[in-house]
Amino acid sequence: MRRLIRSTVFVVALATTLMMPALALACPDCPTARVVRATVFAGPFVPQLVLLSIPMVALGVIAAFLHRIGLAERTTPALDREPER
Amino acid sequence: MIERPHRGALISAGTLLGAGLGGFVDGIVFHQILQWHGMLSSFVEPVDLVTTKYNMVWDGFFHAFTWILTVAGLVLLWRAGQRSNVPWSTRTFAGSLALGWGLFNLVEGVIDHQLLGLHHVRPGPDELAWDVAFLVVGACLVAGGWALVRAGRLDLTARGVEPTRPVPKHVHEFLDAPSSSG
Repeated sequence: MRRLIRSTVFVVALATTLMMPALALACPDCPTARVVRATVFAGPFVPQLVLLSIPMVALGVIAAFLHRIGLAERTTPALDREPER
Repeated sequence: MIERPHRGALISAGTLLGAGLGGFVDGIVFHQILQWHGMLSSFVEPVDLVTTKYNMVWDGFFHAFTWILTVAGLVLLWRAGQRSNVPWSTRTFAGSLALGWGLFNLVEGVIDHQLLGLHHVRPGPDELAWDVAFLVVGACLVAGGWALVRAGRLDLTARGVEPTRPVPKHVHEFLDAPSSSG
């Protein structure tokens, strides 16, 4: 049990040490972040967003088409027959 | 009474999920782990912290769109599972996943890499070769997925029903033959 606790503490300490530089860079409101935000939103933001969405819209249209028609069914006479009334 | 099977519901769900998962593979492997390109790296080359973070923001929008595709696929899959006329075929679903992933590579490869030139798979002297390889992988996935979906046409069991072996053609013919007893 004591060994398990020691191992856990070691892993947590190691992970924290490794993550420190990343945490330091991920600044929500430091000068770098402000420059990045300004660059993203000051430029042609909406046209670029539209460009980015084109492949996704195309995939959605293809999926809608497949939903509508499926693929050609193998002929199954039992399924083509009119249901009995 | 046998209801006409509606395989399109499962195929479209699988296609959207496959496209979404393929998009995540692209984003995770090429954008983040290998860092071969960013979403707009042909426009703003990631050479310092600001330009890298700029591309990171657009990678985020790409992942958001991919997430929407995945959620749409999940919704369609859930709805397909509630219908009694949707054959619950592993082959159809697995084939649709591959089809979707392949379609993602083809559509994204043609539109983003070739037509709009937003980025290339691996920019540099051999970028065309890498772009073509990306498209070829997509085409192979589409072909394999299509073949699996076609093979799944034999599966007619709806969800929640004990799977049975597919009914051979001669049995169908026997069942459809007019009865001699009148």
